[in-house]
Amino acid sequence: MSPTKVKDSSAAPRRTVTPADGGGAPSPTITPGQTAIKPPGSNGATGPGAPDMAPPGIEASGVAAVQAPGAVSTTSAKIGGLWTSNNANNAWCYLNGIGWRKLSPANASAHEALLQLARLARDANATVQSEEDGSVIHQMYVW
Amino acid sequence: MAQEKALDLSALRVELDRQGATWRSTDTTIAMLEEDDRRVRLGVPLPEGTERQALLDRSKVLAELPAAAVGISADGGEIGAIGASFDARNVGGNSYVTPIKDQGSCGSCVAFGTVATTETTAAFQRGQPALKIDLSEQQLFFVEGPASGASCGSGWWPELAFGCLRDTGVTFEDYMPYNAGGGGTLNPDWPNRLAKITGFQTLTGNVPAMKQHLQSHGAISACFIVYQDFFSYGSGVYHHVSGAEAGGHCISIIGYDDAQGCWICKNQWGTGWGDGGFFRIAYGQCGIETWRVHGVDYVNLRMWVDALVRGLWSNESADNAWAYLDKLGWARLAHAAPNVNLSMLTELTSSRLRSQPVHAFHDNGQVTETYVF
Repeated sequence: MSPTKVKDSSAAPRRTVTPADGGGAPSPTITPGQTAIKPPGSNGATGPGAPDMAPPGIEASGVAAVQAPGAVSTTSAKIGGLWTSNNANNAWCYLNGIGWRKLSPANASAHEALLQLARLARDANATVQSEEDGSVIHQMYVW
Repeated sequence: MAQEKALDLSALRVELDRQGATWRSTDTTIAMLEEDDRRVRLGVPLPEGTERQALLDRSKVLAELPAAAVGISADGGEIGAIGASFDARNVGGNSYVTPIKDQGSCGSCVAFGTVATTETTAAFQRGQPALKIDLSEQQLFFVEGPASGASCGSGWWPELAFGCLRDTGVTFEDYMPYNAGGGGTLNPDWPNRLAKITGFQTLTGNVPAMKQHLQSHGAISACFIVYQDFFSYGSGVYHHVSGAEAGGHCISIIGYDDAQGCWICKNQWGTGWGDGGFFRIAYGQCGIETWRVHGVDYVNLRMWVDALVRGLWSNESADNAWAYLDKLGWARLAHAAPNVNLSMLTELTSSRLRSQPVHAFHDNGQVTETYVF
């Protein structure tokens, strides 16, 4: 099962995104188009990790910089859509201009936290900065 | 002891001109006081004669070293290149220095110098110039200090003050306001409105380490010997020109400038003294580098805040959502029980969505209680 609606139906060749670690769960199959998938980023987080970026206009320093788990490559986008199927830990978000990305299923509470952040960004029309590997979002900032 | 008159500034100005001094005197509020009232503000007991001369001599030797000299840090590592200047009042256009205070007629300078250093460090390490915490010198000096000898008449020692800041911590000014006469009541809720340092470093006589600590923490504390002409300092780079020794004093160093060859310092004699309450003192003068110099490691804060949520973050680890609170920076949401982290995240997303402040209890980098109205 997959989401069948698109934010902008004028866009669009259908495209199937195959998550690297989807665990056999289904993935969304329809995109608004312009699905330039970014090359995999690095996931430098070890242990629980801590944020290492600061809100726009504020220079990261102090404890945030000290606790940085490592350089991360991030993607900035607004959330164009959300999707969930009847499968465990299988919520996805649509990054405008980029495509569908699965929220990391590595942990149930973390999956829910990432979904809350994506939902907030969508409701507030806020920009998210996410670290993703082309299919799965491993961490997310909402400003 | 007979009261002596205020300083003769006209004679001092003639001497400053004659010697081509790099600083100017002025009719400061302190210079207008009588001798006993000036001296009582100097609350660091002077060492004995030979020790005193030795620290002055060492300070002068250090001033002769090249500014770019490589040094050894307090933890034994080599210090590399250090910037030629630093001023915590202007770091990328931001000031991390809290307002000038007035210790009044009491030898409580150690409490003010160490607290000022703690306040600046708390803001600088978080990268939060708007975090202008105002800590209670009253609690430090009049509640915690007496057990280790602090009094208006005898003064105190910075090592003992930092020990109290580490072991007990100090509450905020509004929970016990300063009164040079002592007294007052400590708000019984003070353990929930508290700044506590994790430790402190001795930097005495190590100029590269002093500069490095300023660059990384924003401030250090230091003691120096005050001479009579210092009371009338108005601007410029101070060096001793005339007048006898008056006593020992503790302040907070908040910067340095190799081009001018000086330390930039925050005093606590009100804004009517010095350059708006600040002063510059030449390298090697009055034992400023060689007498009880210390830096704070880190300042933990425990307090209620009303703060806008500027950002939220999570990664794929369990119960690891964080919030960026205005004026405080990143704080992890509590995670003692399985659903706490997500519950708080729910409340904070509501606060962020409405751009309304969250009323949160911040405890050493963690949010442990939240109200959203």
